[in-house]
Amino acid sequence: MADDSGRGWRDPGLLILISLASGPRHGFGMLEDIERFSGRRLGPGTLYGALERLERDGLVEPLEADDRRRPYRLSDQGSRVLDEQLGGLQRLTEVAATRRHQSRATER
Amino acid sequence: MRALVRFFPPTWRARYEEEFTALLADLPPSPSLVLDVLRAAARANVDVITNAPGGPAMGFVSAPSRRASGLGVAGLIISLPTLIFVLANMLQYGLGIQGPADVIDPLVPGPPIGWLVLMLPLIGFVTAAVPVVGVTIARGETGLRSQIVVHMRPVNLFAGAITGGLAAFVVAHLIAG
Repeated sequence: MADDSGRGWRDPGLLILISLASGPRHGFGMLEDIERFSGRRLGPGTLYGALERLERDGLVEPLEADDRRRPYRLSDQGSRVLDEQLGGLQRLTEVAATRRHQSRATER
Repeated sequence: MRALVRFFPPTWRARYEEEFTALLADLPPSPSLVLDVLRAAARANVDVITNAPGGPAMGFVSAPSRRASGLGVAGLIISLPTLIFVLANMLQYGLGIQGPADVIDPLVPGPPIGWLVLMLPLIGFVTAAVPVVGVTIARGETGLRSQIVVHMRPVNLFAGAITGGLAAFVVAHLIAG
């Protein structure tokens, strides 16, 4: 996900990792799940472009295909990367929230 | 929708075509879907070019050749009559040195020979500059592999500058006149 890290929480790679955090899913399942929790509807090309990079980086693993639909799951490395990414986002959220709080206190 | 998969490189299709086609069949067709797939196909093709095993599938190779030198010299020779014609006129009418244009101008009558002389720098430029770059494209196991081979030698640069400059001068003169 190194080349997509600049897009933060809207990065398709991160959205896929979050979707797979609750268990294996195939492409259509990921698209629906991602739209449900993020409000972002990924296109199939965007999904598979990100999936290919994640698989190449060893962050997701393909499972046996089920009627041409192949599910994917998080690899151990993918789980670690997801935890790191979420930790970074959480720190950003905390810093942003603290600064907004300070800013509002100063305005009053 | 299935036809869109053809835009992806062979290696990508070998790995993902079946499941990707199944996913496309589950989605309602729309212009934004087509655009999304085409954009992904373009990116996959760029990835194949830049991440090919054994190095990038697109590369520049410098291979100066004697043929390129010969073409550079040929381009200069082809442009020589026009160069002499232009220099003679510049000396006489630009610097006030009497004689050169009086000698040369009668040798260059009106059209079509006059036009041909004015066209010579363009022919010289094409001869000297264009053949120095070669492109080879081949379809390999990982997709298209292309190589840009530059045969240029210093003489080609020199000839290209002289003939190109001369052609530009003549064209500008014709437009102004």
